[in-house]
Amino acid sequence: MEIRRLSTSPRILIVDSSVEARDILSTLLRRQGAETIETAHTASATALLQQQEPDLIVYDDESASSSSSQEKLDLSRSASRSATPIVVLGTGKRQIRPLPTEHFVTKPYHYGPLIRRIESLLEIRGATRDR
Amino acid sequence: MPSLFVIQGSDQGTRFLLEEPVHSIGRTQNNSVRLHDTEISRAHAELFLRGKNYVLRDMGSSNGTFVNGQAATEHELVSGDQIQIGKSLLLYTGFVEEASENLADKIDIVARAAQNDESRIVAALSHSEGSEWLMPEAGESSNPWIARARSNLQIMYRTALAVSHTMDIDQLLARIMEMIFDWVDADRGCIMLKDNQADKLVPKVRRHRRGVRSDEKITISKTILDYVVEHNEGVLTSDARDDKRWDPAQSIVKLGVREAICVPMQGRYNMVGVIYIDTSITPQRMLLNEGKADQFTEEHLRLMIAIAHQAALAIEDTSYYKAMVQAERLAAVGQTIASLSHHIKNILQGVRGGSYLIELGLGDHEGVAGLDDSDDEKAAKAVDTIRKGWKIVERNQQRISSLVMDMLTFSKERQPEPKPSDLNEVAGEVAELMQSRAGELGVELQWLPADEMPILMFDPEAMHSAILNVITNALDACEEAEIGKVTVQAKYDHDSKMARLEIQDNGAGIAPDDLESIFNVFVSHKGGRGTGLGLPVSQKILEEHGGKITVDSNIDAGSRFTLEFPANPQAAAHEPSEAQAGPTLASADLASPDLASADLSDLSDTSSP
Repeated sequence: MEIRRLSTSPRILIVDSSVEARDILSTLLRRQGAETIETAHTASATALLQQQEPDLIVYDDESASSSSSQEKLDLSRSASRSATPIVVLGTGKRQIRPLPTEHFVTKPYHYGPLIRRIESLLEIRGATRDR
Repeated sequence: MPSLFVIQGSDQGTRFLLEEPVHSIGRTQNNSVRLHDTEISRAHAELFLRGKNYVLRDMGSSNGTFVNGQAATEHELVSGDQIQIGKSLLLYTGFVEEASENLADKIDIVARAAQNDESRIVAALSHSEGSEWLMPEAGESSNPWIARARSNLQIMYRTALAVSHTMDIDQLLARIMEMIFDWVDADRGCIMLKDNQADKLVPKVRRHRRGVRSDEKITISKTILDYVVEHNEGVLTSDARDDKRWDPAQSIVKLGVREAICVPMQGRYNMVGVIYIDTSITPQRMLLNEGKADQFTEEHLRLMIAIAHQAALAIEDTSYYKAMVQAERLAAVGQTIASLSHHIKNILQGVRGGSYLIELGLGDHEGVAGLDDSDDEKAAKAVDTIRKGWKIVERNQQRISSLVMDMLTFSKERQPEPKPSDLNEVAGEVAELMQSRAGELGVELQWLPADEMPILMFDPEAMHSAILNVITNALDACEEAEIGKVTVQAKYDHDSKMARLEIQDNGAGIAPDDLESIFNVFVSHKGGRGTGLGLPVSQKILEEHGGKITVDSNIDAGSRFTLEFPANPQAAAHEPSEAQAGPTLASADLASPDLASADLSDLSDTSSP
């Protein structure tokens, strides 16, 4: 149950139009020692990705449904270029060919396993960077 | 544009537009009309344009090409022609003849007075009476052929009426059977419809002539049925022993059927069933009939085929209509389930988040309590986490409760329960209730009651829900505004006697394209937060009160929702309570003195001291 704290202080970008959902995830990640950046819009997420260089993105695919597919594609490509993992939260309709940096989590999910998934992706990214 | 529409076969439902002067038909990819039918040759036939019509030409196919059931090597097509190739049946539609003149200019519909039109109606006839003139008049000594023709025409007319009057197949079949028995001297009859799944004929209606034992089983020769189904032809059997077609099976003879008519019910696309009638002619009847046994004639057969065709068309129509209704119903149920699942899933996600925070907070608290030197700051932090989690759970519990209430309001045939109520009071309660939510979102919620608001007849609980939904939306719309503000203002217009509640926000506004759909059920533009039921439910409540909700919105400037409903004049008879600050409607406003007196008696218990 108890999640160990992250060894470093990673920066995580949360993209979700729901204030409540952003608040829950942000609270949980900050408890683990992460720094969080929040936005409700996909377009501003792409800008934040370039400016703030987060270590990981959590992207709610459903609540960001108002975003255009081009905006989503731009974010995916930008993340892929910077090798930033994206955890996509959505329904079962996952992309047929997701980019290597995309990781899909089906709703409704449990927060414990989600946080552990994020930790494990951050560890892999840390190890890759150290090499 | 000319086209080929596949009525039957693997490609059923496909339409091929004929845009080129030449089209090839076959089963391989290089054909412009490609059919996935193994009984079709690679290059089976071709269509080429000759003048304004396409000509169909068989290209030496193995299984041949047929137009309207006839083998064809080359055939100039006309609209409505059916082309059979392999197992596929195609319907050809040709060029539409362009109107050479504008008929609207050639036909004038004018007011009588304007044109000195002296025409007057000299006779009128309802369409149900239209066949009456076909009835041979009593004592009429006209030619028997004409009498028979009139009788035949009448039965066709009545069949056409019957098929146009009912959507119930069983009822329709019973009516048709009844008409057949009125017209022909048959002993027994039945209608059987084809069960496509079981691939067999299922009896639907049976009928016996008056005087014939109705418990007697109707025995139908399988030989006849098989012939009718296989050849799609109507048959008249009067003496089986003389008819070579029945040689292989002697059932007709054995069963003693002397005369029978069995016709296929051929619809537009398929054979849907058969109609069967028979009669047994006893030696006594033969003697009375001067030795003739031909109770049924070819004329009967022809007419039965026509009747069966009409009935088949109606059955096909009804079946397609039912299938369409069912498909639409299933689609609506599917959409409802998908939409509800989506909202419940989002609520569940919130509950899970809140519960997880509570669980973490409790763990933290237990950890602190176990220490000898308890850390007050850590303990307070743990309680904060629990409190935060609990708030989220509570909010989502409220959401599911609202969803359930909205679903109940929307689904049940609920009649409003109007009683003398104060709109200022009801709207004020909602505004107060929503202050905490506004505070959480950092939105200012301003409530401006009307200076003069009479006591009105409305259902206060329903109106409370309607207002709550609209204010909730307004607050949500301001979530991302820099300084969000929602103003709720009540008004009463004495001239139009309309009560109004304006809810204005400075939120994101609604896109013009979305405005049309905001009152549609399960349409939400609030992402995961909206149920898509709030506004339809509010609109329904206002409509039940004879009112409506209107919306005026501009992107980035905000929206104004106006809830308005007419004042019920009956309320004027109600004396104001002491708590009521505003004036009531004057009795002079009453539209009807009867209403006033009725209302006074109704309210006497509450308004009299």
